[in-house]
Amino acid sequence: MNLGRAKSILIIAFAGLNLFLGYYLFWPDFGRLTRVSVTAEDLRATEVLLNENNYFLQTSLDRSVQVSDFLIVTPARSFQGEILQDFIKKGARVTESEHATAYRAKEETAVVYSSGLIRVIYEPGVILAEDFPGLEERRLREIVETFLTEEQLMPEGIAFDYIEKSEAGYITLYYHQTYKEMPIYAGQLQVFIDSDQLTRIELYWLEPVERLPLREMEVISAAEALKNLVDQLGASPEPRDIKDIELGYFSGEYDAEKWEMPPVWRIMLNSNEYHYINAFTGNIEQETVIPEQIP
Amino acid sequence: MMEKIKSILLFFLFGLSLLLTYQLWYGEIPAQLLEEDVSERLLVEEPRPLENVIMPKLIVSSVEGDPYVFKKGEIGYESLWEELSFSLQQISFYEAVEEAMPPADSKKILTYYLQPELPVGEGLPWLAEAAFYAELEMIELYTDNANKWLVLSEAGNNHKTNLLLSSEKAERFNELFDEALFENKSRYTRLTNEQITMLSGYDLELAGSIYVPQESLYMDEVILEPEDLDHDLILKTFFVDYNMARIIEEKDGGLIYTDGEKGLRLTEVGLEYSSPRKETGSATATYPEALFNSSSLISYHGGWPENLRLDELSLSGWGRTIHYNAEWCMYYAGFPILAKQPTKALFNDSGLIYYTRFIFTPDDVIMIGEGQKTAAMWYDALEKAVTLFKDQASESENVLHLEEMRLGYVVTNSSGHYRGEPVWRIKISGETFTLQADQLNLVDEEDLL
Repeated sequence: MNLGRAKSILIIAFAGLNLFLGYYLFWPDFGRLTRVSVTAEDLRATEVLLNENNYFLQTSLDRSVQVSDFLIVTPARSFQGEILQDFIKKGARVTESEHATAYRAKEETAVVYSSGLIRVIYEPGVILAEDFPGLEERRLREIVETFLTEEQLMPEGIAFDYIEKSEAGYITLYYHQTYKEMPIYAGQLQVFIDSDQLTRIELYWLEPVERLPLREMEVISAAEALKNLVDQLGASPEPRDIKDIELGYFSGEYDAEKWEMPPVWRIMLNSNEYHYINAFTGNIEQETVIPEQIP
Repeated sequence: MMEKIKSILLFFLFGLSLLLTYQLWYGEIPAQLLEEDVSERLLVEEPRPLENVIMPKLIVSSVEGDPYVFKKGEIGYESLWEELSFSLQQISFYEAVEEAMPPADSKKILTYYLQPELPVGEGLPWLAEAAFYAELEMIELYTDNANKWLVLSEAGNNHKTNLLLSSEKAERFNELFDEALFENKSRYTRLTNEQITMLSGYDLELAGSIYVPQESLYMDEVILEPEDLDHDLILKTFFVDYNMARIIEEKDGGLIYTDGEKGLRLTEVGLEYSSPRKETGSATATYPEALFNSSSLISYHGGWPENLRLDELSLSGWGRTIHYNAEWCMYYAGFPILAKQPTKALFNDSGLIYYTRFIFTPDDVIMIGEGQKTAAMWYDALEKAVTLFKDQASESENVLHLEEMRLGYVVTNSSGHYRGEPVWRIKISGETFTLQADQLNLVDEEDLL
């Protein structure tokens, strides 16, 4: 081997080494790409813990390391204004009380609460189709969504969440808001159907103001969120399935100017029971802690 | 030429690899990461020692005729209390109890009403040599021509302990009673059941010792300043990592910080905090420990300003919650500044459950309008309060209990100023009435801060 060839080989070797070292030092996300937040061992341990407490994992877990941030939101006043403008055009009569304003049109009433919640009540209910409760879910959704679009009650960034049917013939369709592909569970639209009539729509819509990348942090893993849920709920007296676990934003409804929403892991148990685990602190998100007057 | 370039490149890459390896091995942690890892040291106020946590509710002097009353913020109050506190810290208990009973012809010259109670005994600043523990609700100073005695009354029973003071300590008390102590002071009356029943025309019973001025008092109307809290520091005292806390901006400009477990509301005039999950904890701290804990809490979360007095410390609870309840009040010239929301803390072994802090201080006593108001006489105020009570009572009670009757200030906000308005605060059988001190009109609680 001549010296020139040896030099070439060494140049390639050192270039490769420098690239590798440079990656570790200067590429902050590189480490993240090579890491997983839930190892196979963690997953097994989590499943054992869940099973011991009568919970059974029926979904897969996102095992990658994820980061998130706070999202600043404000009640969607402009969208609210558009809806109410439509009521005024229909000749609605306006009555005000302490925490709500009612817009009464001929066969529908919109009640706007100070928190931003809008409740649209149809009297009598709107018949959407023949044999409505008997329709398959996809068709039922299509009809409801067409109605919402016609009524200008279908905001941008809406995503179907789930449907609930009761034995008494009540159907409720749940939609939630999304922002840059992340669900905002607090932004909700609910459609209430009684037998074959749409009777009520409830809309609590938010306007994302900005994300706070300066406060971007690594979130707890899905496995840790499940452990925290079991810690806080305790063992279940009867077997319960964990149907889904997903990362999104969540907060309570506030009668406020604007607020920050933390990322949460939303855990779905059977019977459409949802729990929200703060993805930064690991605490279960219940009623928001607003300081109240001392009892 | 090519070989030369290769040599230079190889040399450069070799050097770079050494540098990068060194950086990886020994490199410094970036500053922003370092900041996150190291807990920040907070410069907060030190808690007050136990000797400075408790101060009497009232000191009543009956040296000559009708009593004089000394309250927090009045001239003479501090020196009278410090002398007693110092004596109790220095006293040799076993020497003092000999022949300690004051003779029948001795005269009571000072009465200290202690609320919260004063803990005394081994391991405490007061009567540390005593082999017993007691919580005192009252201390009286008796004298004959030659000696002075302290009579200590325990809370919750009728047990009394008598202490004979050494001549040196007795002399120190004598020195306090100079003419300046009583200069410009009004005499007070200690109310009796017969007196209040006769004057009000209703069957009234006292629920404790109440002293009222014998003559009309002049009270300054004052401009108040809300406490200027360092919001950033306050936030750090409640949240170890406040990056985890989210902010809710209220319509009235208030800011709420919450991490899902606890919440803090900061407003222009104060703060409210709650951590409801700690409610179910137990409260095993002893009374002296709880006193010190209360001092630590208020000092850490905002500080303990001068003229703020601990008015109450009690063990209470509801449901599965057992906690200590500490309440402080600001005083100006002997009168309490009664904010609508008190400065109050509920705590147990798990920590702070609730905390509200609304402290207003007089801003150099700026005179407004007519300046001083003449407070109505106590019997007129009492009659008005009893009438109001009867008007609103759903069922008439045979005997009413007078629980509180005092002059003070309430906080109002008018024409851009926070004002301290003189009032009579009267509590009858659980109902509190706030009356304008001069006109005796009922003050609407909605207008208060």
